[in-house]
Amino acid sequence: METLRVELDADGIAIAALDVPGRSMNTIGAQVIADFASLVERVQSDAAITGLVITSGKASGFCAGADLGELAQRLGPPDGGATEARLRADFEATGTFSRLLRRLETFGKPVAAVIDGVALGGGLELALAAHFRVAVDQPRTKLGLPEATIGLLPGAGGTQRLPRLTGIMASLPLLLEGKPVSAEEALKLGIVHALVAEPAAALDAAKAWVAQGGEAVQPWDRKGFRLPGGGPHAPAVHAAFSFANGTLLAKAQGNYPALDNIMRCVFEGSQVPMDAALRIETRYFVRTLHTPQAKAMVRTLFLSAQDLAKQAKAAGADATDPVPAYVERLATAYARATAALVEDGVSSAAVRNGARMAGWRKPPEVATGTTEAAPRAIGSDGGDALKRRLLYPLALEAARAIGDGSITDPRVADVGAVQGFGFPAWTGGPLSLIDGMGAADFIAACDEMGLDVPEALRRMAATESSYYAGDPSALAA
Amino acid sequence: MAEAYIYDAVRTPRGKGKPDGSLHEITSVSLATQMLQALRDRTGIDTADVDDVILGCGMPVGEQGADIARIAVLNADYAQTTAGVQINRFCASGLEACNIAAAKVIAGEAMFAIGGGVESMSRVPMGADGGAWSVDPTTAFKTYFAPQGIGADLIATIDGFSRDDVDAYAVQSQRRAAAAWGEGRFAKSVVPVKDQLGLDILDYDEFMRPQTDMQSLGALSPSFAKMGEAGFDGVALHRYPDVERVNHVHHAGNSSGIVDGASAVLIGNAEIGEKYGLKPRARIKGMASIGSEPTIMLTGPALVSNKLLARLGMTAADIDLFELNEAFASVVLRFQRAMDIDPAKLNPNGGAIAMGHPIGATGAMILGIALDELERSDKETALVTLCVGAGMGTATVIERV
Repeated sequence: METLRVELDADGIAIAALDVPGRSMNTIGAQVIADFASLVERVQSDAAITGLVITSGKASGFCAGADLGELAQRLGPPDGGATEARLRADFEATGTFSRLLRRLETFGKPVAAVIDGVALGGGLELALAAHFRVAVDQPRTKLGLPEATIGLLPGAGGTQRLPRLTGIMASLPLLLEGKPVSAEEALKLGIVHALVAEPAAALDAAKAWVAQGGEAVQPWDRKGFRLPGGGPHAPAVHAAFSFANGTLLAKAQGNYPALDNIMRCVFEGSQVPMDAALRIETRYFVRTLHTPQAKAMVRTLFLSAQDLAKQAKAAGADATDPVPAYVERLATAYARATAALVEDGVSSAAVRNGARMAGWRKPPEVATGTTEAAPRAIGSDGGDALKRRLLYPLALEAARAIGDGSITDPRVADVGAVQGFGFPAWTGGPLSLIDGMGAADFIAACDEMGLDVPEALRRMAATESSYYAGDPSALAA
Repeated sequence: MAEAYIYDAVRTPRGKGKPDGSLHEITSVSLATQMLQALRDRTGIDTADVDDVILGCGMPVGEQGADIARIAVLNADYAQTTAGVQINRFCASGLEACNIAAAKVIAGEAMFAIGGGVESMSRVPMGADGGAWSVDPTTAFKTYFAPQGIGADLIATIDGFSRDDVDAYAVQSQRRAAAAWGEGRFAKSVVPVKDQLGLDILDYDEFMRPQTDMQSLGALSPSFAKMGEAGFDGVALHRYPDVERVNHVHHAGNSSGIVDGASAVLIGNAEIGEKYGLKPRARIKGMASIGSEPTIMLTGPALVSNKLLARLGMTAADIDLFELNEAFASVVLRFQRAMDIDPAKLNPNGGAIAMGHPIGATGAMILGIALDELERSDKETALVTLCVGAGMGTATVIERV
C-alpha cells in the first residue's frame, strides 16, 4: 500500500496512518481508495484484528479532501451527451469510495478516527464513516465540507451522515456554505464524540475506545433510529426546510446546481435507509459533475486560483499587474450594459433584479434612466434575456483583453473577474462562460443581440478552439 | 343530460380556530355529521336517494383523514347505500365539491349529490398535512414557491393597493358582515352547532370584530415581512423582475380568519326534487377550474371567472352578484378591478376577513350565501369563486329558478 502505513498494536488493533507520498496534504485519489479497499479487506478477514484506528501520517492535517486534479477529468457536460451508458458508468465509478465507506461502517469491526488538523470534504466523509471520532482541540483542527464552494457536493456520504448526526437544519449551513467548524463546535454539533488537548492523547483515546468494546454499529444502523430533530416531514422541520428552500432560491437564483442538489440529497436521502440514501447521493453527485458550473468553478475557484496565488507569491509584488486595469474595463462594460438596458426602457428595478438573476449578490449601481416614459415590463419570461444582456458584454470585454494582449493567461481573466469584480462565480469567469457555451454559440447569441464581437474571438471560434483548450487537470499543482 | 339544481344549503356558524374557540371541543366528524343531518331533516328526503356526498377538506389528516366524508355519512345515519368521498383543492374544496356533485347529477350518475366541506383549524391546524410542494427542493425550486402571504403582498404591490386600501376593504367586510347578521340575512342557512348533549354550543360567526376601524387595523404589523426578508421576496422578484421591492401590507386583520366550520349543499336533478315536492332554488349553470401562476398564487379568480363566463356565452355584466372568498384583501381588490365590478355587487354581506375561512368548507358556504342573497334581493344570477393554493381558481355560476 502506497498511501497507508499500517501497524498492529498489542491488542490487535490496526493503526492505519494516511500519508500520500509527494503531497503536502493528504488528498483522496484512486490510489488512496485502492489502499483503503485493501485495508478494509485485510481488517475484515483477519480474525486477529480487533479493530481499526485511522489517523494521519502528515503534520498538515488529517485529510483535505478529494484529489481535484484527478476529479477534474470527470467534470462538465459529457461529450456526446449524458447517454444511459455514461450515466451508469459514472454512477459506478464515482460511487466507489462511498460504497467502500459504507462497507467500513458495516463490516463488523469497530473503527475510530483521529482528527488532528484539517478534515475537509472527502477527508471528513472518511471520518464520518468511523464509529468513533476524536479530535484534537487546537486552532489548526477544522472540520468541514467545502465542496459546495466549488460547484460540487459531498459525494461520499456527507449529505447523509452529517444530518443524521446533527439534525437536518443544523447540517444545512455546513453543507451549503462549506464553512469549516472548530473541534469544539464539532463536538457541540455531534460531529465528533470526544476532544483531547494533545495529539498523543487522541490516539490513546481512539485505541481505548476500541479496546473497551466500542461498538461497530452506526446510530443509523440501529433499530428504531430517529433522525435528530425529525425528518423533513416533521412539522417543525417541514416549515424550516421550506424556508431554507426559499432562502437558497433567493440567494442562488438557480445558478448553482450543486446547492440545489445538496438540498435534494438531504430531503430525499433522509427519508430512506442509509444504503438507499447513499445511492441517491451518488446520483445527484453525478448530475452535479455533469454541470458546466462544476467544471468552471473547480477550474477557476480552485485550480486556477491556487496556481496563480502560488505564482504571485513566487514572483513577489508586481507593479505591472494587469488585473486592476482589466477590472476597470469590466466595470465600464457593466455600466454600458446597464445603461443600454435603461435606454431600452427597462426599469431600474428590472435591471437590478436581472443582475441578481445573473448572479451578482449585490448588483453594482445602476444609473437611473432619463426617459420620462413608463418602463416597459420585462415579465416573468424576460429573466434569461436580462441575464444575457448583463453577462455577455462583460465576457466580450474579457475576450477583448485577451485579444489585445493586456491579459495573456485566461485564468487571470477569469480569476480576476470573479475576485476583482464579483463576476458571478457560477460561470467560473467570463472566459469560462464562453468556453462553457462554446465560442460559436456564444458569438451567435452576441450577434443576435447586436453586440460587438472582437475578431480574436471569431478567429478562435473558427478554429474550433477554446480558451481552456487542453486538459484542465494539467493546471493542477 | 340532466340539469343540476340546488335544493338547500346549510352551514355551521364559524368558531374561532384556536383552542379557546367555541367549536374546538366538537370533532370534525361531528361538524360534518350535523350538516348532513340538517340537510336531511330540513328537506325530509330519504337519503337512499343521495348517491354521493363530496366533502372538501384542506387538511385531511389525523381526525380529518381517511375519507371523512364517508365516515360522516355513516355517522349521520344516512342510507348505507350513500357513498362519500373527501376531496382537496385547498381553499376551493367546498365549491369544488359542489361542482363535482353538480357534474354527477348532470351526467346522470347521481339523483341527489351533496357537496360541502369541513375544516376544524383549531383541531387540525394548517400545515398539519405536510405536502411536497414547499419542502421538496425539486418542486419548490421549479415552481418558485412562495407562501400565500407573499403572493397577496405581491398582488398589492403590482396593482398598487396601499396599506390603507387593503385595510379599508377589511373594515368594509366587518361592517357588512355585522349588518348582515344584524338583519338576519344568514338565518335561513346557518344551523347552530350542537354539543355532546345536543344543546346549542354556537349559533353565530364568533370571529367577527364589528368594532374594527382603520386605527385598530393600522396598529397591526405586516405578517409576511419577515418571511419576505428570509428569502421569499427574492423569489418573488425573480419571478416578477419589474417589481422594485414587495410592499408588505397584509396582516391578520385584512386576511381571512382561521376558524372551524362545516357546510353542505343538496344538489339534485328535476325529477328527484319533484319526488319530494321540493322547489329548486337555483340551477347550477356552469362550473370551471383553472391553473394560474403559482408564485403569485392568488390570481386565479378573474382567470377562471372569464373562462367560465366565456364558455357560458356570458359576460361579467350579466352577473348580478359576486361572491369571492376574501383570502386576502388585495385578492378581492384585484378581482374587482379586473372584472370591472360595482363594489356593491361584490361580497355585499362581508366575507372571510370578518367571519373566517374554514378552508375546506368555505366554498360551499359562500355558494349558500350567494343563493340566500339572490333570493333576498330578488336577483337572478350569481358567480361564486375562490383563489387557491399552488395557483388555481374555481368558479360556479348559479341562476335562480
